[in-house]
Order: sequence, then structure tokens, then C-alpha cells
Amino acid sequence: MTTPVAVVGVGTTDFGALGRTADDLAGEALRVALDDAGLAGLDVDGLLTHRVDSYEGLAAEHGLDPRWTVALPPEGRMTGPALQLAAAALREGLCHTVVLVYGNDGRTRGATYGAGNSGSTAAGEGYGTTPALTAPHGMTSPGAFSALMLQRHRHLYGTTEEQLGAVATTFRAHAALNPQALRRDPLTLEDYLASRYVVAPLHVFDYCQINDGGVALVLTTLERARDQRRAPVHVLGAAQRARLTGSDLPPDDFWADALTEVGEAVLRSGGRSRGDVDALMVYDNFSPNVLFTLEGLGWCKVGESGEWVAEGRIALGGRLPCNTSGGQLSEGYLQGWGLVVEAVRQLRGECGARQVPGARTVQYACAAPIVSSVLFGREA
Amino acid sequence: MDVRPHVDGLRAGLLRVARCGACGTAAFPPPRVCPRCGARDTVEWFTASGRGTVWSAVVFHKTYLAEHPAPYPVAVVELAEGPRLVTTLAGLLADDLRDIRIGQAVTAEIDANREPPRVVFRPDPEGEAP
Ligand SMILES: [Zn+2]
Repeated sequence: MTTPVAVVGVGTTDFGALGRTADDLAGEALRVALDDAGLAGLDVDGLLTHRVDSYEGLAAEHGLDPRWTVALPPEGRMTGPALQLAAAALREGLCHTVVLVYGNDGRTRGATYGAGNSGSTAAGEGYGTTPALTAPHGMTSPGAFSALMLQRHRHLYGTTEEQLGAVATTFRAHAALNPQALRRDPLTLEDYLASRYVVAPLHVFDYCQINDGGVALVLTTLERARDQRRAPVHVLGAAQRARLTGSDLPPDDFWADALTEVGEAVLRSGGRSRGDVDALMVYDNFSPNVLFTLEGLGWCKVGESGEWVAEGRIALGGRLPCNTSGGQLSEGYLQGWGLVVEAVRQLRGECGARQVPGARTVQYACAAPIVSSVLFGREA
Repeated sequence: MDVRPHVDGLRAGLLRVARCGACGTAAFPPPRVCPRCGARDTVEWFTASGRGTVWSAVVFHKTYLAEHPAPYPVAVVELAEGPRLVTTLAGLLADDLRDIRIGQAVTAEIDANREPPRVVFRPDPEGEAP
């Protein structure tokens, strides 16, 4: 990257059933993030909003008249692209300090991700473009799409329920170390296997926790970041690859080609190799996506992710700690933003009992019809 | 995407799906531009044999939609001609995924009397499609 870009502030609200609007939560997160960065609204000249109802209302309320404003549609697949876009705007000199602001009132709104109220487009209720083909069969919900992918994976590679269960139980153990997490009670593999199916083969614990909450980040150029109160967390690379053609049906390769491409791109951009990655924050709207992401990024061979996670590698203390906050399965569903903040906090060394010792490089990745990854580092 | 020829076909008892008229790539639902060769507006509708295999399947245990009370299966079937369809499997115990074998040969049955009409697939008595 030419002009280096860094995260200098993060802010989160409480998570849970809060009875507040998305924009109210986003606004609170914005204030917390600016305080964290030691900046005022007047220092901000770039605004990116995600899932808020009114970027205009948010900007007016918080005194923002940016040189650069972008509002993205509500799907969680937009989080990686949001970071990529903001970093590009900074590098291009379109603005010097961007706030990325996210608010979600899905829990209060009664979002179901399958029967309406998700506040999202058709893609949020059930993947694909053509409900006329899927509705007559009762095919709805992104979770069912993930379940179809997993059942195919099980057929091809013998992935077992016990192996998949390691994702939910591992992240739950991480959540127990995170006071902010929503699901903190212990979850054993036996509990997991005995739990109800939502869309078989997925159990209820394979689904993220629908949630209210706000998250904000402050990004700036490294030149400015050096003057801020927080040690900068460098954005070393960001990449995306769409798999939107044919998205009505599950992808044959579990998005592996696109994951490989974006994974290699962010490492190349950051001058890192995969072995440098100390932790991975992986978009876990549904736990099978963790398996697909590990395979696509090359952490294990295609088809071997079940075994890989079951052997403890994604747990704190393992080779590649994943979702140290508890992830979206256990901390709460914030469409990737909570994971991004966790990456920053790990690199700042703020994670207490769940800290990855000496973390220097942390990667975010999302497997979805827009595949994306962002690489963060303590050093440039 | 425009799937009216498919739905109209079902109403007439025919399973009509599409491919790219330029390169022959199966494309259903049919995009206006072929993602393989880039040809524009060459969608070619044809009547499929109705033979296929189960590509993947799930069982809904949650009722999202009142008109589809759980449990019920949803499958992706790959037709012999290439296109894949989201569909329902007929003649199974509805609530047990273990009854559904991926790779199982299936044959289309069109229910033209529903509105909207739909195609479901019934497992063949034995064997897998070649
Ligand atoms: Zn073509």
C-alpha cells in the first residue's frame, strides 16, 4: 500500500435485546470510537455507514459534514468491502479521517433471517436472486443455504457433526473470557449434539445470536495516526472477490477459489506470509463457514477442515486462534464488525484473559457471495 | 431473473430450464449475460428429461413460513442436462435427513394444480444415475 492506513479508534455498545434503534446504537458507538481515538466530530472528514436507517440523520445528529460519504446496504458481506473502500479513500487522499459506523436493531425488530424483518434485502432472508423458484419449496433463510453447503461437504469429505460441533464449543469457551459476550454459559460437545436442529444438519448452536448493537471504527492515514493517543493498528491489506453469478445455488467449491485469492492478496499487500498470522477472525454467521474459510485460506487441505478444528487448532492456545471474542455464534451477531474490533483489540493487547500472547498480525475473512478479507498488523 | 417460461412450462406439465445459446452452459435461473462466455441475451429454453440426482439436501425443523410447516425437506437436484434446481423430495419420511442420500437418482414430478405450480423429485426405486 502506498499511503499507510491505520485504525486509531474503536467503539462498541452493549449487545443484546436493547430496545433501541440502529441509528441510536450506531451513534453511541461513534462517540465511543471518537473518544477512544481522542478525536472530535469536527476532525472527521469521511463517513461510511452500514445498516443504519439514515446516514443523513446520523451525520446531522453528530455534526458531520464530510468530504466523503458512503452508505452501504445491510448485508454482512459488505463489512470487508467497507474497510477496503475506506482505506482506498484515505490512500487516494479523498479524506484523511474516516468513521465507519454500524448499527443493528435486528433483535428488537424481530429479525428472523428467513421470514422477514431482517431489515435486509432478499439476500438477507434467503440467498439468491429469484424467490419465485425457491419460495414454492419453503427454501428460505441464509442458514438453510449454509446447511445445504455443509451437507454437500459431509457427502464429499465425511465431515461429521462432532467435528462441526467443535466450532460452536470452541467459540463458546472463548466467550466465557469476554464479559461483553451474550452466550457465556458452558457448551459441551454433548450439549451441542443433543440440541435441536433448526435446518438439519445445522443445530441451533451453529446459528449466530441475532442481536442489537453498534460498532464504530476510526481510520486515518498513518501520518495522522502517529499523533493519536492510541497505538495505531495498521490496515495491511484488504481484498474482495464476488461470487454473485450463480449465487442462487450453493457454490461447488465452497467459495474456496475466491477465499484463496483474497487471502493471498492481503498477505501479499502486507508483505506477510500465512505463517505470520497469529489469529483469524472468521465470519461465523453459521459455523460451516468457518470450515470453508479455513480450507479456502489454505490452513488445511480441502475437505480436512473438520478434523482440523476438532483437534483444537482454532482454540486459544492452538495454532490459529479464531474468534477469540466468542464470535458471532457466542459474542453476538454484528455482521463482521464485532470481529473486526476484536482484531484491533488483540493487536492492541487489550483482551485480558483471551489475549493471544504477542499477537502481531490478525486476519479477518468472510465467506459469502462477496468473499472478503482484511489483514491488520501491529507493525506496518 | 425472468423465469416465466419455467413457471408457464410447469403449468403445462413441462420441466423447462435454460442454457446459454452460444456456448451451451447450463444457466438456471437464466442470466441475461452468460457468465461463461459473455454472450448477451442468448438464453435458450428447453424441456429437460426430468432425470437427475440429489446434489445436497436439508430438513427444515423450524417453521419460518406458515404455508410451509416444519418438518420438510429441501434439496438441490442436478438435472441430467446440467442445471440445478432447489426443490422438494417426494415420498420420504419428511423429518429425517438420514433418509436422503446425496447422489441418489431422482425423477421429476410436476404438480401443475398448485398455484404456483412446482416440480418435485421422487427417488428412483434403485441405483444411482450414471
Ligand atoms: Zn455462454
